[in-house]
Amino acid sequence: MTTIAVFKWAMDPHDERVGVDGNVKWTANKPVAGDDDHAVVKVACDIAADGEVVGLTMAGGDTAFAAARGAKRTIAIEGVDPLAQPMELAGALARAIESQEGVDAVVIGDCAWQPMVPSLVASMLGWPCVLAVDDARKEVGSLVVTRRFASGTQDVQVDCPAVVAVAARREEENKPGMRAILQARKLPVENVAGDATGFKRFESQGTHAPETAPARIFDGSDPETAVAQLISALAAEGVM
Amino acid sequence: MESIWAVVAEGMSAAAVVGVAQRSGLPVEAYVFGDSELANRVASYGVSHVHWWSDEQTLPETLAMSLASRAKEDMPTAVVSSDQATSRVLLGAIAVVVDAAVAHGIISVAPSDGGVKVERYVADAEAVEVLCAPGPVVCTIADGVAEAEPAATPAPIEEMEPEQNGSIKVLSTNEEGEGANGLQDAERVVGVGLGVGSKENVALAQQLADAIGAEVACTLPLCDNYHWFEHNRVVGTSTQKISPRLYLSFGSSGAPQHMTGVRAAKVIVAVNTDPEAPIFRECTYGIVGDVSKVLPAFIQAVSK
Ligand SMILES: Cc1cc2nc3c(=O)[nH]c(=O)nc-3n(C[C@H](O)[C@H](O)[C@H](O)COP(=O)(O)OP(=O)(O)OC[C@H]3O[C@@H](n4cnc5c(N)ncnc54)[C@H](O)[C@@H]3O)c2cc1C
Repeated sequence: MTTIAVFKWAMDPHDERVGVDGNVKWTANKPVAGDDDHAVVKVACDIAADGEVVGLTMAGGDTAFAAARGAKRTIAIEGVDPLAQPMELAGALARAIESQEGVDAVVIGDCAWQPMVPSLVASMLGWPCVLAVDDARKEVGSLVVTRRFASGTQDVQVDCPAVVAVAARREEENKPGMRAILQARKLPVENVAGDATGFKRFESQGTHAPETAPARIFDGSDPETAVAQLISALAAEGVM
Repeated sequence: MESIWAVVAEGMSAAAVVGVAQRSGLPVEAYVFGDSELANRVASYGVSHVHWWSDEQTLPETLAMSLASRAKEDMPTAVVSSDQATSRVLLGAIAVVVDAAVAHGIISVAPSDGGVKVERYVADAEAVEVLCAPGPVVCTIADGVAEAEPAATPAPIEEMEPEQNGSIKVLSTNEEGEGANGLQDAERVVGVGLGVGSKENVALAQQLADAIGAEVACTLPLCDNYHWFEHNRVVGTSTQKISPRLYLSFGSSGAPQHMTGVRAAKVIVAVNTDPEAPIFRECTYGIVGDVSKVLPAFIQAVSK
């Protein structure tokens, strides 16, 4: 069976700017590894056990991220606008997944940059979906998934095939070394033409200034005065 | 008739989700997954109707497809919810079945020229982008938007039949986890980051918290790298979101993974030595100053 680990598929919103013409501009032109992507590959490897993990990415350039962490091969989707909207991104991913045989699970980041994409992918595939996932393991015909639940956790059993969206708790502890990365670059990468067409989209009508008042900043070089000013402002807000 | 759906699967963001839906000017149909208290609360916000599934009997995710089929029949102009996990599973199913345009982190939605207009913050909230789609649209809301106020008469609540499609089932729940410590319900929270610098300053933060009846929270490195706090005190993407009326942050830079956890606070105050720290772009009030000087001054002022 094949477990797909989706990585480098979303743009980092910190590369988003507002140009002098008031339109949104980007200082980057391709998706980068998200906070969750390292945990995605780990969970995919846990699910696959002896089976195959296949990386799936929307990024050109260095596609060895999943292979350096245990994937046997990688599929790189080409030709999709990196600024595609959630339905389009999900559509391109779902179509690439459908073209693979014998997939029992798709693991993807529960990405704060694109929070709707994992459940859209699941819905397009017609598969069940679990979000905010810490860990998962395979049982016969199903996955046992630990997800965050209120302030604790919950174990759920979900039928395969399924989409599992992993939310990393912290940075990667043991990053692959140069040797693993060089080895990974030798593993096969299949470039496939992406198809993100046929979905409804929003059209941007430009931007305007936010209505919220800018922050009131006090000079703390005289801490007593700054604190007195702050406390009276907080009292006026009714929070102090 | 045109309507907007407000999908509510947790308490913290319920009033904000309904608030965004109401300001669209369309009648609000609320779809609530939770206990009867949550259903009653949503009914009190001036919505037209509450469709309520008790989450004791139905795992909300298993209803995603039947909710999507209802949406296909009703064809609401827009469906809004929070970015909480269960809500996003429900929205994902609806969006695909009704063939919607999808956006996240919106601050408003309204019908416009035969289509739908939404607004959302872009470029670290430097600007608001206006987006239009022919409709329908499915959106998650931004944290910190204005909440719905209670209305004079509560809306009728229709309790829906429990359903299970069987593809997901709960094996066990660790409700309390490591997270139960009062942060979730706190009205005021004092948050500390790496800039707090020493255990002595952490003790001062605790003293301030005690003086103003607040809980103490921290950023991830103070737990992971310094072990000065338990993991259940960390706020942000890896742990929990909080929504106090006042969040006082001392020596945090305002990393997105931390700010995700506190953006729903009504008022955010930042104290940081670096006037360029990102947190000053997301706070209501700030002091450019050293925590080891500001904390004692604060304690003295509130102890008077
Ligand atoms: C997958 C993942 C998940 C994460 N989840 C979380 C999470 O849930 N919660 C979380 O908090 N982080 C999380 N992080 C970490 C996050 O990215 C940041 O690294 C972290 O929040 C930074 O903490 P900080 O603000 O305390 O430290 P820093 O970013 O180092 O900021 C310290 C600040 O203190 C200021 N300062 C220094 N000295 C003083 C002084 N004397 N007085 C006043 N100010 C001073 C500095 O100017 C600086 O702005 C996560 C990261 C990853 C990769």
